[in-house]
Amino acid sequence: MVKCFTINGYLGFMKEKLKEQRLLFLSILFMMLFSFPFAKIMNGSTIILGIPQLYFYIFVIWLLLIFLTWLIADSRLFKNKKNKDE
Amino acid sequence: MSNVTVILWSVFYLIVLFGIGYYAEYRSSKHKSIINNPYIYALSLAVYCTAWTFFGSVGRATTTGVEYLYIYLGPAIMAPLFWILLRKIIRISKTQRITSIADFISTRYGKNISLGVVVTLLSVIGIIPYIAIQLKAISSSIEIVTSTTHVIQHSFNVFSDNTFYIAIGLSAFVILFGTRSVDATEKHEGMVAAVAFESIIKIIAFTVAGVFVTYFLFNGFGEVLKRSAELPSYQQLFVVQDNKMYIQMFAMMMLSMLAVLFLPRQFQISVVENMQEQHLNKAMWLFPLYLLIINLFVVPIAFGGSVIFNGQNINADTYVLALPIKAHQPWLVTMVYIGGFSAASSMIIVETIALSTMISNHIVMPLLLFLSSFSKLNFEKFFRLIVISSRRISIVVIILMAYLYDRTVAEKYSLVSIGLVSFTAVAQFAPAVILGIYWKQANKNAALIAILIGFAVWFFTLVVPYIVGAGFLDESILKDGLFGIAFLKPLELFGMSGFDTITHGFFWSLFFNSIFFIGISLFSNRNSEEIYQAEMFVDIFKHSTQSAEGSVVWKGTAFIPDITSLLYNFIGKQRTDHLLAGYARRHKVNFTQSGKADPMLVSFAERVLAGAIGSASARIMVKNVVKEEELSIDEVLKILRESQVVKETNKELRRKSLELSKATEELRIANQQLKQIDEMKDEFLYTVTHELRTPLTSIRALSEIVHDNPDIPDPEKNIYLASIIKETERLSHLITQVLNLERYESGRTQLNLSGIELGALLYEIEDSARQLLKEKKLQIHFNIQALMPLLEGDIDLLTQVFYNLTSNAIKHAKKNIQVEATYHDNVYRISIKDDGEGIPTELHELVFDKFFQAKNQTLKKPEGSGLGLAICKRIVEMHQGKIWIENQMNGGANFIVEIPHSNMTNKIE
Repeated sequence: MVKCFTINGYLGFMKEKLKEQRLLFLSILFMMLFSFPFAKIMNGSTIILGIPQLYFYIFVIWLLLIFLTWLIADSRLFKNKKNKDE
Repeated sequence: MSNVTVILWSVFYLIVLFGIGYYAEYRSSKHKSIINNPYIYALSLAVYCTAWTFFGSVGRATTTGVEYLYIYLGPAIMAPLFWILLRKIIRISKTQRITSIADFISTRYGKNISLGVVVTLLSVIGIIPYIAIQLKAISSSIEIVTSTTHVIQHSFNVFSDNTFYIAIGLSAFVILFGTRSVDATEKHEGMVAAVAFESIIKIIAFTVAGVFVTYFLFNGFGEVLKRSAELPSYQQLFVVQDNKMYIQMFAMMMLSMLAVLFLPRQFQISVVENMQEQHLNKAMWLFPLYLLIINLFVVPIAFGGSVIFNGQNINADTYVLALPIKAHQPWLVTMVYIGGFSAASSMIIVETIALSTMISNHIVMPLLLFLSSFSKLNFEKFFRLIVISSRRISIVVIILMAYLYDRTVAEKYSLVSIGLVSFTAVAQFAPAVILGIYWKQANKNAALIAILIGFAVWFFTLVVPYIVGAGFLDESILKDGLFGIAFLKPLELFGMSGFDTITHGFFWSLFFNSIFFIGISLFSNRNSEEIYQAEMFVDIFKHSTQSAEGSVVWKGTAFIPDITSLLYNFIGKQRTDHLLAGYARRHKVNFTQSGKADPMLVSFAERVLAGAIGSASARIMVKNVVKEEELSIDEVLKILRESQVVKETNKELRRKSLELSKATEELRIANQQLKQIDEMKDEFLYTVTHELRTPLTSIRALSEIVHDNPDIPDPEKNIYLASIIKETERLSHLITQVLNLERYESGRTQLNLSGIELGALLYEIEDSARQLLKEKKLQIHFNIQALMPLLEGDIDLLTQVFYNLTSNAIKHAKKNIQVEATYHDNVYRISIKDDGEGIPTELHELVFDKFFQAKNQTLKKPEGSGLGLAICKRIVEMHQGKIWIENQMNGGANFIVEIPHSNMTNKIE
């Protein structure tokens, strides 16, 4: 309990808050990317690599979302010390 | 494939599942859990993909195109929020020992029984059709794989129906691995391991089937697309034609976002079976990745199937099986059949466990408690048995009801549409849960009414059309509305038309649900229990950092034997003793088997009980055995505030002690300084007296000589007397200097400021030192900048400084002395250089110490008091200036004085 009042505890807490905010941002951004204006912009009859344009767009964005979630939540890049220890 | 082969494969697969279940339980009993692993956790979350995904996605892709993907995009969008929402729900559920979504909602709103009942009923009614379509998927896949050798039996006989036996096998599995312990918060490790295994099977089976269709039946994605371009529906499936479709897509996304959190099976796996919050970090990206992979081949299978079966009457839901059958690939058919079976069975297993826990804890238990309060029946001893059996019975009942539903209603509808109706049912929990964990004002009445209204609208807009379709209701209600009111048409409520049924029903049910929820919350009050629970839920991260047992809201009298016997009845003697021993260890208390129980123990027992029978029933049970006093709202608030105050006080204490240690450090430093000053003072006194004694001694010796020898010749006597006078002068000079220095240092001297012409002052000093210069045959050179502004300072003191420095230079110089004065950047800089031996660098600062020379006079007799430079330094500092020494290239010393030119008047000490 006392631990969270140390500087490291405080920084860890701030980092945790930042992680939450990053993930929230990611979620809102991609919800928009999958929805009306963007989905409509990508709607079309072109075929990319044998896949209709809109399907292609959705799968690429989806993969990007997964990658970014991994980057923020589980990669070493953003991991704070506490997680590394585990 | 023959009927027997299919049965054998199914039995074989079930045996494998049982084996995995047993293995996982065995490992768990040895404390080497295999499910305590983020990858297993992520895989078990994929219970989201049911037979509906396995078969139904293909069917939906052939009718609505890209829209089917949004059922999987919703969870992908929700996944990053797992860290925010799900983690909070997990933390709350662990501290409060919550066992299901019904328990969660009921606990949040003051452990309310009615809410538990409503949520349970809504879940059961909403989910049974969903379980039914899993059975339907199994039965129709059996039908398809056997139809090549057998004629499809249209006569319906339960005992010749394979699906019936499979349903029984699944019930056995669920009973075995889902109801091992009465404590529902204990992990069902065998079940989770089996579900994770099934996730692997279904994704492999579907992907292999997809690769087969795409690359063996066709020549890659491109060819599937080219061939399907000939289909009439092609354009509308690959390209969104109608802008309304975007709204439908968005609705699907929102709906599946909520479903992935609130479906009872998802809640069971992601919250109740969660081992560590940290597992979310991996699940957040692995789970969406799983969904992406399993969806990759939906389109090629859907359109490949449409091309191959063009014109034939084959349900698109079955393409994934029908294509390998048509291509005569028996092994692939078996694999896909097992994959579909795994998708269906995993859903059935988890969903029935979740629902049976809800039924036993939120319907059977309250009913039992209600009955026992009226009759004198003493069935408390059998509670454990009753809880477990009610769970087992409800498992069988749920699966049987689903089976019957499958055989009567579900035949007529596709997989996905029924699944979406269930999604919409559980979406009704969203306002109560999401607002409940962030908004303290959300209250019980609001939750109850909002869920009931959402439930009613859901039933009216989504279930009634099915009932009509099944022929149980007259069609006029669809055409003319309820009671003939046109505004109340189930598919066009309040005249909203043009949307698909799901979007329509989802919108209206959630709209009314949220509006009533927020509205009633804002205009009604909460009782004490609700206030306390709201606090515990919303601020869980604050409360769970301290011991969950720390803050207790309870007042009354309880006896330990009552509490322990209550626990014995429900969770057994062994586990009770184990838990109580753990409690005693944590709180360092000694248990006696008698005496009064403190509030902390009572609330601990209540939580343990809640894990077995749900918080609402646990509340009532505890109330029955203890004498409780009702807490007023004021008291609850007081307790909460007190725990807040304790926390604040702790914080304050920490701050104070930090300040204290800082002050201590400052004091220590001050003390050190004082000691140093004291030492310096002692040393000063010692040096001063020593310095005074030297001239005194010589005065005394000389005067004794004169006194004792009256016959000394006059000239000689005069020499002695002159020496005495000189020594006296030295003595008085020394005393004057000591007094001066003391005066400067104590700050009692006021500077007598006037405008000084620096050049003139320096030339004047040369005049007064001329005699000395002549004696030592020294040359003095001046280099003084013209037109310097007047220096504001004390002319007497500054004269003393430069006189001292000049005479110092005269003492050490060999031939030349150079005096320079410049004015630059508001600073006067005076330097006095000699060409003597110079001063070693290490002494540059020391020479300004008092009596420095005296202390180092080992070699030669002191010339001067040893206070001159110390006085100079002090005077310069009084003028806000600096004095220091630099070595010259030729070896002589260079004394430099810098005095700023500015408003001295303010800075006089």
